[in-house]
Amino acid sequence: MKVLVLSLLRLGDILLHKQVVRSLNARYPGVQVDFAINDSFASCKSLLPEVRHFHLLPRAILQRILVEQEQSAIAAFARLSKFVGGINAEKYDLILDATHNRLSVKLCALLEAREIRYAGNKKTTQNAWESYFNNQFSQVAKSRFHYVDVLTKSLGLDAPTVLLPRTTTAKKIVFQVLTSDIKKNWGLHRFKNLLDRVAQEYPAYESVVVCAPNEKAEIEKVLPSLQYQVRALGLREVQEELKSASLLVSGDTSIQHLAAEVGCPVVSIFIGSADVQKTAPYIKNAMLVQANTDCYPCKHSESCYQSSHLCSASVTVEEIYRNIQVVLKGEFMSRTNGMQGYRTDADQRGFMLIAGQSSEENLAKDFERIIWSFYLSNDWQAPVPAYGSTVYEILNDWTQRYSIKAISQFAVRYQSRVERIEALLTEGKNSFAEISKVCMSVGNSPSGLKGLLEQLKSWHLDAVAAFPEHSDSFLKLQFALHKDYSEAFSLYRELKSSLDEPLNLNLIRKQLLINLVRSLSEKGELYEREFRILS
Amino acid sequence: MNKVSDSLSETSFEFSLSRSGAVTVSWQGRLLCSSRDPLAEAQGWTRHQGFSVVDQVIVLGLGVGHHVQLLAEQRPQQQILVLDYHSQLIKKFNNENSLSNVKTQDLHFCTGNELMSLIQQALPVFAFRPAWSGLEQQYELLKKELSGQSTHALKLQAQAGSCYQLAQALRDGQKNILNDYISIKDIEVLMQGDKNSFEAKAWQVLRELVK
Repeated sequence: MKVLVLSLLRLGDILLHKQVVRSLNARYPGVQVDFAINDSFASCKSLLPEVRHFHLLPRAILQRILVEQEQSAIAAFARLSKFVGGINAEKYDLILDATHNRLSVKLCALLEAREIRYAGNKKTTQNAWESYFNNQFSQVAKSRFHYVDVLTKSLGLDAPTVLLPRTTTAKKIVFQVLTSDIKKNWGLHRFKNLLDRVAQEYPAYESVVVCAPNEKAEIEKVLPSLQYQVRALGLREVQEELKSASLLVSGDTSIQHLAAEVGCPVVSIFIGSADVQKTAPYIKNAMLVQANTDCYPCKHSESCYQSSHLCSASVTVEEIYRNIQVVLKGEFMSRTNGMQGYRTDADQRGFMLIAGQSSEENLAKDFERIIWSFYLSNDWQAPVPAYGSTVYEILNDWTQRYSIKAISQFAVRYQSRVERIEALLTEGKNSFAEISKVCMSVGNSPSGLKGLLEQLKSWHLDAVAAFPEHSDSFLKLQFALHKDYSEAFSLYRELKSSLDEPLNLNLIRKQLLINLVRSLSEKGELYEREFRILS
Repeated sequence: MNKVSDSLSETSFEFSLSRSGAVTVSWQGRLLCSSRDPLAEAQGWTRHQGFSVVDQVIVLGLGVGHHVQLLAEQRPQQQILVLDYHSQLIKKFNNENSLSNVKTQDLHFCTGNELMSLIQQALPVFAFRPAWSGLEQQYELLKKELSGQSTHALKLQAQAGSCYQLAQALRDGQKNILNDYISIKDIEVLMQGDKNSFEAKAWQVLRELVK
């Protein structure tokens, strides 16, 4: 089995795509995996020993030819043809588009393999995860799942198991103090204060600041070499440092993924456009601190419009220091309620969990994730959906963090919410029924549906306003409502499938809740004790 | 500036020493390289040039040639073809330098066939604009041809590069771009015909790369 992974994004993404290789190995033992990457990242080849061969896309030179026009576009065509020819000559069994953008989709149209999995490939059936990737993850909407999980599932693979940090007696903390995106930089002066604090409280630990050679001078202006160890290193050397480190403190950089890969514990600072849910290091017990401002997270492509970098100021040195303490002591469950931030873990269904503080709001979030994963993986359509065992697993986890009383209170309140959602969805269904009736009677022109469509749009706005925490359930419908249709039938079909999403999600919500309430009420007050014995 | 004797004496050229001590040249009173520091100018110019791994490049504009010397030293594996309209400067450069990877071509004596052959090769073209002084239009037109931005040149290159669909579209004149510089955007429009061919899809990828 020969597989090519198209990884035409940046370094951090290439490193995360190592997880796709793990999924491939689990699915196809003995698989031979090749990567296609941009040639500007050729230096990362040594970090991916599991990849047999790399096809290098000469992206920068192609862009230079086409933009600066120092050479004929025909030369660009020849270079691209050579790149494509090199791939097609390998006769891959499977090509996976892990890049997931317009460029890679167009590139896939040139490639040959027994099977090519990419967004919008009409020859393959789109799975619900792929639709989630397109409609939710890649849009401004917040994702409920980590990038690796959404990517692997949308490529028809199983999500890999979340990596485990290694135990170590090492006394070295590595600091990555700059990122490639100015918006994600926490600030060298804050890092200086943090380094001083760590040196004072943990004198036995060696602190090493790592950076790229071109960053060293800038860093040494704040962290002079006489007082601090600042090392300009290549990627391979950084990896070696991380192998012998007890902790990495970093922003949202490729280095945090490198650390996860070698099992090095991580404390990471998420500011600017960095989103904890999407790009946390794929390892358990990483501590993530995110900004606490209204403008966070901002769009990746936009520069900061604030007069000062508010999000970096919202993360204090004290907060990061407390998270360092948690990791060094290994007391992950002892975080106090005052602490900001999240801890990475795996949920009951094996997906990465970004666990927040124990609160009813986070209970609801966790529960919704389970509902979504049930829905996206199509498990709810199994002959006997595993609602009961899933609830068992949920309770197994929750009872370690919450009291039975808190869970019961959540269940009662959630039940009332589910009923309200159901009532609202019934209104939407009725509104849609009118549309389908008119569709049948007026023929295939959508013009007669304007009034009814406006009614449905207004219902949609009310629904999102009433349940903002479930707005992602209605996102597909939002896209469908704002498309132009030339035929009434395609409008009908699109609206139906979009409205099915919140309806099916609520169906799963109800079933899981019924099982949850049943488990809680059957066992009553004795439940907590009995459950602990069982588990 | 201190004047130095011009062994090739041509009234319209004047060779001098710049403030930095390097030789500089002017033609009919127009400077063909920096009068202050032509070496620094050459260094800045070579730094900007890409295509370090291709076999052959064209340098359009010789001037006094500091930039060519530097480029040839930095890229010993690369063949550099220098094109210039000033025969006198070419002679002087060749007399004073023996760089194995540099060839010069006097554009006054360049035949139509030679030019066509150069265009077909679609080589990278490095423009040394200070040396174009007084002949900017001629050099600009030549650059347009060599880098495939005219219909005629692109057609030649498309045929030579097996882009038959594009060559056909250019022949059919599906878009009036005769007086314009052809960009990747224009090519995208030209390739609207058969969107399912390998060629059309490849051009779509290239277009996407610069969007």
